[in-house]
Amino acid sequence: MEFPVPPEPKKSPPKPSPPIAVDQQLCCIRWSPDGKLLAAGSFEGVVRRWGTSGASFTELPALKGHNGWVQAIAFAPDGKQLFSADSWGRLSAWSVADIDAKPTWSIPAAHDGWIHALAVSPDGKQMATAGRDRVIRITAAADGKKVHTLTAGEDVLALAYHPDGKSVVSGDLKGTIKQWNVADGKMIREFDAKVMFLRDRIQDVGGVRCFAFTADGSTLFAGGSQPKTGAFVQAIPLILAFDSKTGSSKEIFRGANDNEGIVLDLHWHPDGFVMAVHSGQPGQGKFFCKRPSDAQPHFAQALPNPHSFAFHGQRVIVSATNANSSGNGRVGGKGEYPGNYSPLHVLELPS
Amino acid sequence: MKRSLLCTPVEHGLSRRQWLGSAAGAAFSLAAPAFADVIRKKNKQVLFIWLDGGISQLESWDPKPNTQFGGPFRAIPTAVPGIHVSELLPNSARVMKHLAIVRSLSTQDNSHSAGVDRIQRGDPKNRGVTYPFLGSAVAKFLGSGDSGLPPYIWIKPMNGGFIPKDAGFLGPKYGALALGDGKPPENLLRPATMSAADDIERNQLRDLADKRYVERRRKGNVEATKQVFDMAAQLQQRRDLFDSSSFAAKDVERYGSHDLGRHLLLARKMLEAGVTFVKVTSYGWDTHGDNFNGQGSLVPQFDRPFAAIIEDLHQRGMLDNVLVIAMSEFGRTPRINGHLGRDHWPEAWSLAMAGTGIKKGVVEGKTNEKGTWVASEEHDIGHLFHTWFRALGIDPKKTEYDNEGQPLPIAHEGCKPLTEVLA
Repeated sequence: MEFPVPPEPKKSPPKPSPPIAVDQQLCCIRWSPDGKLLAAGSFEGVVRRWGTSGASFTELPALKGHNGWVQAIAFAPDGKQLFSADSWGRLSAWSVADIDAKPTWSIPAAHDGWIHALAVSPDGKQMATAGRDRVIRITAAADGKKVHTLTAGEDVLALAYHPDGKSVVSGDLKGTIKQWNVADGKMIREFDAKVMFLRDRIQDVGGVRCFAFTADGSTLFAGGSQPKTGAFVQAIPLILAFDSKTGSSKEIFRGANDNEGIVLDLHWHPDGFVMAVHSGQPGQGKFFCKRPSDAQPHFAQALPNPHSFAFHGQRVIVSATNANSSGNGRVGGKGEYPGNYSPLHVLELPS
Repeated sequence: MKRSLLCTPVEHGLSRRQWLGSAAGAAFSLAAPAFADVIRKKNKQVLFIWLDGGISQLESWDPKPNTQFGGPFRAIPTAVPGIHVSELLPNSARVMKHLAIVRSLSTQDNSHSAGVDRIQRGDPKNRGVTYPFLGSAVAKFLGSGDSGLPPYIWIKPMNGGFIPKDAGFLGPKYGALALGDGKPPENLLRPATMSAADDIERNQLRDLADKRYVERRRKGNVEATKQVFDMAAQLQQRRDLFDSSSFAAKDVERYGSHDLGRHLLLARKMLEAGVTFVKVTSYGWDTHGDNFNGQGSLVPQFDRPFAAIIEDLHQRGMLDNVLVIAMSEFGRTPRINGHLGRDHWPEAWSLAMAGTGIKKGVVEGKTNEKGTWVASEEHDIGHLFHTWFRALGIDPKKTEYDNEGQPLPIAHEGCKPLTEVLA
């Protein structure tokens, strides 16, 4: 597989700014298309929001009504709606303009349990959601009504619409990527990402965790890892590229070792490179940028435990669990028990 | 003269031969309380399910949904009104009417190396002697019963063999016979090239050599060696126990084709055959990373065969005699680390049990709202050993070990049984 070679990016590292303090752990962070609203799903059943203007971030009231984890959120392409999905199966839509934060619609049991992934179609008219119930639900963005239910057959961890809007791809725990025709709900083909799955003892480990398409849809990138063990989860971060026409694949990123963990979030930058985060053993992880044809990332910023990131132009916000987040047994005296939290790290990519 | 490694009450000192001899007049023996006690105790059995590495209490028996540390999963109601468990345990929820959950465990060790042994030895305070694992203790107190099979069988993944270390100061003869992947010990059967007469002759020669060897030496290792040969002889008579083709396809489907399912199905067969103590170990529960996908994969694979064996033992009337225990060496931290995992947490965790001597459909103890600490009376492993011995009809107040002349309590004297879960 050959990739077009974009202009050589500047080699200087992203400029880190002081992180934005957040008192909860966050699952997923996304930026509105106009760059004015940053939203993050949390481990505590809310969507945190920040108004952004220049370098300033002003926190807005959180969106409430979810349960468990809000692991999947996405903005509509026109930026007018925000969609959020939680681990108890609720799917909600919110008007970005509504500062009072009432959902425009909310489906309490869109899925039976944990929704891992949510993707909005390029025309903004529908969305796909999937999770532990092993189905993919296609939902109308306007009113939340179900359009299709696709039988995925496995625990789906990642979803993305093809840029032409005609198909959606799902990635599952067992390392299978399926492409589905949105119009009739039929599966078109499968891509093999089995390298991202391990059956260790009785545990299913790894899976396809995130996707990004190039803007023209010619290449699909799948992020995950090559798991080496279950339980502790030693895993080498991995990104595979699939040719949309032929289905052929190529490994475009492999981490240095199995302490580096799993690629948990992935985006395609319009300047022609992938951006990703991987999080490994507690305290380890990095944000990096890499042209598919390059041997090594041209940017790599070490961060403790990054899990998700959003970008607008050259600005990148990375959500990462605090350092020193792990440890056996009690922390401090009995009765005290601090939780972890996810500061937002602000990076400025060189233009 | 050194005392033997027998516990002090006379009834526990009965050998299998003595017991069999007495059984000739069973009708009369049953009428005598002392012998009735012995018979009752010898019929007790234990199924001990060990989830090595640490099942998360928050993703199993003590969910805290919608709290800071609660994780992504929901809690579901069980067959017992008012009791909820994680949504990862739908089948266990269905059989909750047979179960007792303890949510107030607070133990000493947050490392595997110390925790696995200390928990299974029931020694919360570490008194400087190596206590026997529960399986060895039960093997000593209850013996083989009338099954003629090894009293302590350990079904586990990977390798098997005779595991003397479990016995601690009881001596190696009370060790575990481990069946690697549920298979019979290697070289169990007499080679085809050897006649039965030759086999008898070589065993007689070995016995003779053992007797001479032990005259001037400590007898423990020789006893253990003899025990292994005796076990082999016993198992040769019951080769049918290892015939997996005898399981109904429906049962294989109910239990699952993975290691834990297959091993629990074999455990059912061992219990039906009369094995006194059957331990089933599942490895790989130490989910420091990606805990929620990890426990999300693991817990359902425990849930199905666990509920299936509870139902099967109940339907066979065996829960009246079999004590079932499902546990790990500790729980997992409420705090979610940067690897999206949970670390080791001995401070507040849970276990489940069922069967003989145990109340049905109850929860004992509770943790606070966030699941960080025990909010009721804390219970160390010593409390559980008192409870289990009592459930098996063994009174820790009247029974003690004799460690080469050193009397030792069979369960920690600073602990007491959880009467709230004893029937």
